[in-house]
Amino acid sequence: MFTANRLDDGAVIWLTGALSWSEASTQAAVFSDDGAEAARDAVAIACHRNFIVAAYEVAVDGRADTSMRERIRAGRGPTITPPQDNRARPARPATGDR
Amino acid sequence: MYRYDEFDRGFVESRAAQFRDQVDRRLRGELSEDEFKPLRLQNGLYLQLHAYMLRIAIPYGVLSSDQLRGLAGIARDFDRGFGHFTTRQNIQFNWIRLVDAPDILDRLAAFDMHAIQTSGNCIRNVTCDPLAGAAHDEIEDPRVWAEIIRQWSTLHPEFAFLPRKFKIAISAGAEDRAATGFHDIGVRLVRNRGGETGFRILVGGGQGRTPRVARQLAHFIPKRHLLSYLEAVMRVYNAAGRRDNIYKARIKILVDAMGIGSFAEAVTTEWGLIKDGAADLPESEYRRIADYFAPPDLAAAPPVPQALALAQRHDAGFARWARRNCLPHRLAGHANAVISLKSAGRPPGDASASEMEAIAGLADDHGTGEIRVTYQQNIIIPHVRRDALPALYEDARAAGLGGGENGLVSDIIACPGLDYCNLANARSLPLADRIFQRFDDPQRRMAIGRLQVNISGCINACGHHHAADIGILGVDKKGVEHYQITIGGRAGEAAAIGRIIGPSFAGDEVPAVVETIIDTYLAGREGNESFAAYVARSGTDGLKAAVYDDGAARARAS
Repeated sequence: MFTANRLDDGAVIWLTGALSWSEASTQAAVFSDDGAEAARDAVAIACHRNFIVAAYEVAVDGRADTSMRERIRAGRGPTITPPQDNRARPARPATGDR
Repeated sequence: MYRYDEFDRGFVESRAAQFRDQVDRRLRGELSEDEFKPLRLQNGLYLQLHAYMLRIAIPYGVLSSDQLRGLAGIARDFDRGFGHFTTRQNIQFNWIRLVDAPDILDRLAAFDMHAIQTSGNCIRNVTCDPLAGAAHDEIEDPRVWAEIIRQWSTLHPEFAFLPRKFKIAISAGAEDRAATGFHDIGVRLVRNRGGETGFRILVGGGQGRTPRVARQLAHFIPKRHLLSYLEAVMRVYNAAGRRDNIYKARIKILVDAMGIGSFAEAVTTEWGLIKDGAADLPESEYRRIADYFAPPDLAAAPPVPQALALAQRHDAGFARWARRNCLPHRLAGHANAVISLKSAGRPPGDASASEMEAIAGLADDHGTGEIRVTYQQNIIIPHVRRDALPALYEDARAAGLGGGENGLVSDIIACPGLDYCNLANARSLPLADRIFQRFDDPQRRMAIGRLQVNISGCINACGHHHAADIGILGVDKKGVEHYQITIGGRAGEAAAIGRIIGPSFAGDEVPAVVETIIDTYLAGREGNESFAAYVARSGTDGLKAAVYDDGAARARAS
């Protein structure tokens, strides 16, 4: 699997089977040796276009990586509950997908 | 407190404008990540596990209520409504978007704050006794010197690319509340036999994978020579510190390699070249800065009003809070009130935006509108009249901030750990909460007394586990979180590094192990003997036996 942070907002994203990027780890594709070359090209292009940063391959040995680090990262947040603000946060415009 | 003058304001605003341009160029692809990374780090912006993290300096731990409201606004408008106070008097926001970072720096500049030199291989935010100017035991207010060191070290052209990061702390109390023994340079205000005040300089302290307690470099440097002396230390380190190995690059390694005697000799030689030169501060400039820190005009107040004693008798929560969280003030009728950022379910040091606003209100209503941020990851409202303490407590309690945890087993220092950090091996925050819950009876916590538990998620030791009575270090054991336990560490006076007691434990086992250690101490302590004194007297063999021979909390083979 291939993962990175989106450059403009830092969000964790994953490379899908269609060689696009998704915030959902469930959309992450597991690439076989055959498909990995095209995937690496997609990563290189996304880096070159300044869409992603800090890309890396998650080694998959017949199953998804289950290390706590990758589980927390795929969970898109900490395993504890941060203190809750009692006022609503203003909506922010989404950064652009490319 | 210090207020930006025209020069400061212009400087910070221009730096924010530069960063806006740098971000624009990065987004347009005119800067590569390799080119951009040092620029964002110079402005405190990291890329962490989930997103960008922004670390903002709180110089010498002092905030005005309006500045804290400003930080609350940043938490709400640009982050997820909360922030994390660190051991080095910074606040961190965990969900920052790169595109928003320039607006945040502009916002910070508008209320006299910035994130400059909160990362990178430079002199970091200078930290200080959080009770400075309000403490009962200090020689004089160290904030004046913290501000002078801050101005000297900010964008100092010679020290922008040091071998590694560099941390300075200053303290003027009889009690060291700034952990100066665990800093690259610790500065202690002292008085010599002639009654003159000056500085004892410590060097080479730090934690991480090579923990060291700082050693004395100079027993008395006259005040007028502080900057030239610090500059001499920095020059020796900058020239001789290793740059070939990141793990050998801190000044503690250089001091080890040279020996403290040779290091001191090199500093003295260098100092001889620059002493009495341009590096030293003119008296007029010292006076100008000292004027910002004139003590607040506090009206006389009765030392222990009857109302306070009555309130303690009728309210157990207030009695606990008053006993633990009210620290002595230089004036008998006043106190310094700790607002604990430690409670069940709260990651240590975290506060929501609404809680930050509530704390700002407490400072305005019951103090002088000033707020301090502590090494212990708590908040202090200084200069509170003792007869206002019950009302302050009531308001703090109503805001969910009335815990009387200061210095207790529940007052855990913890780094963000694997829940947020890219470097961590294990989580700190859920473990901190499980330990808190294990000791969920406040009376039991009071009965145990002063006892420091610190948790770091990796060997970089941001959670200061080396400096705790009971230190907990997260390690990765074949992909599973495990924790090593150390005993006998201490920050402050007689700083010491804890010792590992044996093989590591799985996370689920750790709360029971901590409880076993504490129960063994309680069974064996003499009178009101502190945990540190108990360990000094009886060693750690009894604790080890209790932990490793007890079937319920046995160690797994390492």
